[in-house]
Amino acid sequence: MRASCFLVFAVVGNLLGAASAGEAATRWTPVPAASRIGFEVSQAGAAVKGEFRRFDSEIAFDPNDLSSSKVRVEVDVASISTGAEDRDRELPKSDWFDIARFPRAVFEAATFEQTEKGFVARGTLSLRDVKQPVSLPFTLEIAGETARMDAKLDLDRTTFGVGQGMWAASDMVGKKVTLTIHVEAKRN
Amino acid sequence: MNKTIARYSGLAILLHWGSAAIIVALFLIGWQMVRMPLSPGKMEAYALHKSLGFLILVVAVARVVWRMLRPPPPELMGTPEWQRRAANATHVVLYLLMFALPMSGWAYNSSVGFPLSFFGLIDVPPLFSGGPDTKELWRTAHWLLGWGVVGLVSLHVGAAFYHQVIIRDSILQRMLPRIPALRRH
Repeated sequence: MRASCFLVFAVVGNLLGAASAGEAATRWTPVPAASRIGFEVSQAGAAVKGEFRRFDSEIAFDPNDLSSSKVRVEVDVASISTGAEDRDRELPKSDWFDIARFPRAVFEAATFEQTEKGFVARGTLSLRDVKQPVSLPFTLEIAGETARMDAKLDLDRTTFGVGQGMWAASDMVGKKVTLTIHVEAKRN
Repeated sequence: MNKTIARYSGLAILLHWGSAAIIVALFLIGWQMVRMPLSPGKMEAYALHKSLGFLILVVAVARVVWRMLRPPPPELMGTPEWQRRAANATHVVLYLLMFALPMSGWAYNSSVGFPLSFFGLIDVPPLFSGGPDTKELWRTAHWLLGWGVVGLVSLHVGAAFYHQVIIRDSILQRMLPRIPALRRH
């Protein structure tokens, strides 16, 4: 009796799950080799370019069904690379990203709006121990089974405590970090 | 002292003492900065050292060009041949080092992959990209050339003192501006 009761619940649960999955926006599988999170910041008056080499994205997006679209991007902060060993050795330390305590940065958005040029994702970015609302304007190009998303975003690194103590000052390492995001994904 | 000393031109004198000041500053900053713990101050010291290094490169070009346009005054008579040769050789190598030392620093910076800005005004591109294997080579080159400058500048200054204090000729006056207050009437 009890077992059959559970069985009913399980079946109903599955059906409900399937139903909500059916309503959800199209799922997309990112193509890591063709996707990139790059950034640019100034150091001692000159531009430094870098990137986060590893990140995972869960993308459910349908331009015609923005209300059920959602995105979650998880960045492996330790994969940061700026083309200079000496600098890359410093960035994981507690003054900067403190990857021992905060190995991941997460961007989550479930609110999307259409704009003149594309879309804007309103969500949150968790970096170190700071979670802040972030609006990410992006353009999207869907060609057949492939979607290409491009975004550019200026962040103030000090908002997230990237650069503690003496590094919070912006005269040697600029506060403004310009992210350039390119994600390619295949329709599931 | 006689009034008919053939001096270097005003611009040559300015460039000479200007480079002297820059070279001394480069040495002192370079000496300090490598010993500092990592901090914005250390980065600032490096940035200043790199900017001044570029400045000396620019000044060196100006000096060579000006030297061709306005050759130095004739050499003083009465200096032994070996001393004249040693002096000329020192000058030639000092000129070469004014190019080689900043160039090696530029190469070192390029191999490390650090940005380079001329006093925050101009982004200077790297000489080459992605050469961390050559980092130690350029570091050593910059260090050796740097101490080469210290050695030669010491010789150069020592010789000037020797002429001024022991020989008591007018070699040093050739490189000093005419200062009215110091003129003997």
